[in-house]
Amino acid sequence: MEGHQRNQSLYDRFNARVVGVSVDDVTTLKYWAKSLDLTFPLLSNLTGFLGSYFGVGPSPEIKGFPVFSRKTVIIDKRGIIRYAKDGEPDFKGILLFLKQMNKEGGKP
Amino acid sequence: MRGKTVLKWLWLFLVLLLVPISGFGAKQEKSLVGEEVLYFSLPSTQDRLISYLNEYYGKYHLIMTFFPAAFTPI
Amino acid sequence: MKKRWVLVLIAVMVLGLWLSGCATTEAPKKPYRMSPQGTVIWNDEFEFKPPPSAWKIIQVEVGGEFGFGFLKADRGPFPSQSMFVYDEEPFGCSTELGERGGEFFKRYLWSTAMIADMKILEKKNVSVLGGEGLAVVAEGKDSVKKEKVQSKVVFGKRGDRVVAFYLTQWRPMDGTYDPSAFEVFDQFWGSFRYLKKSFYETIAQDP
Repeated sequence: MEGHQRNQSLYDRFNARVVGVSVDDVTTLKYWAKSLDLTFPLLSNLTGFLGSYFGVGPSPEIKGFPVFSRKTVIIDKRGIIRYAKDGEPDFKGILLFLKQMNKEGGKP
Repeated sequence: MRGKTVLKWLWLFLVLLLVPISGFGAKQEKSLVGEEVLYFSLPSTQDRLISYLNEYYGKYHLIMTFFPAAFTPI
Repeated sequence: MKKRWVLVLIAVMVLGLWLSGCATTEAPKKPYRMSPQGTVIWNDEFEFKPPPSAWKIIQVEVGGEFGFGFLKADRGPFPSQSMFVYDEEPFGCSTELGERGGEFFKRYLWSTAMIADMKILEKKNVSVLGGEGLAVVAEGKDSVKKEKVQSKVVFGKRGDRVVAFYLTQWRPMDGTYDPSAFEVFDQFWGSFRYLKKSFYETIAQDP
């Protein structure tokens, strides 16, 4: 998440915002956000419905506890999913994609 | 008899080699790209409910990173 | 008989097809070369004075905690070793050096017990990468494992972003630190320079 925090000014330049999503409760997320000095929101999806929609269902990493696997998606202003990548965020890839999307005027 | 056993083993060998490259049992994941996002409202660390429609739709591109748990490396 | 041979031939062909996807034994390309002046040119992006030959290169794949560095096994019992690295994305987010230093030390050596007992010994402004920098010397101790570490971290700027060089020297609790490693490290970051703009500088500038 620090990578996203460092890139905030660049996201702003490309007219983008960022959020993190997990199944943690808000209180836990707040403590974590504070420890990392994050200024963007972290969302609490306790029921996991949003994760299910994006196919990040229960992760094999922690047995017996339904957590999300890592994935980053980019949704354009029109609500269309334009980018999806499993695993750790590819920060440079995200910036290049945003730049390209901005050039195209956000059209799919 | 021995020849038939050798043939049986050869067939089994062939089948075992072909299974991984045939993609049998491989999960077919539906690509999300191009799909419309599911509009959501979720509680956030900023002491408010964040609604995709109110905060981002029509205004900003949104980067969403899903992660397993707080206090884990990402 | 003929059927058997046909089957053997098919099996060999399928095996060959399967194995053709295997990795070749091509030697990986070196990320550096030596300049005529005796400096190291790393990925055509960085240039610096090389450390003495006792220091071995360590390189981490993208996504690791640092980019590249040098490691030396020191005399003495475990965990006697020294390591220094260049890190394009040190822990933390602030672009202000002092603040970033604070954020950095909240997470530095997070996987060891040292983080619980890390003390800042010295802090001073330095000139690095042609601009302002901040050098911090810290020491951590693990009284359970009876180990200690002394570390020097130098923060500098590349464009708008903070980068860092850091040296860690590990010793058993009753071991003595070797100041010559710190001299080698000072020479490393002191001679370090960029040969081209970073990805972030380029993407920020382009329309």
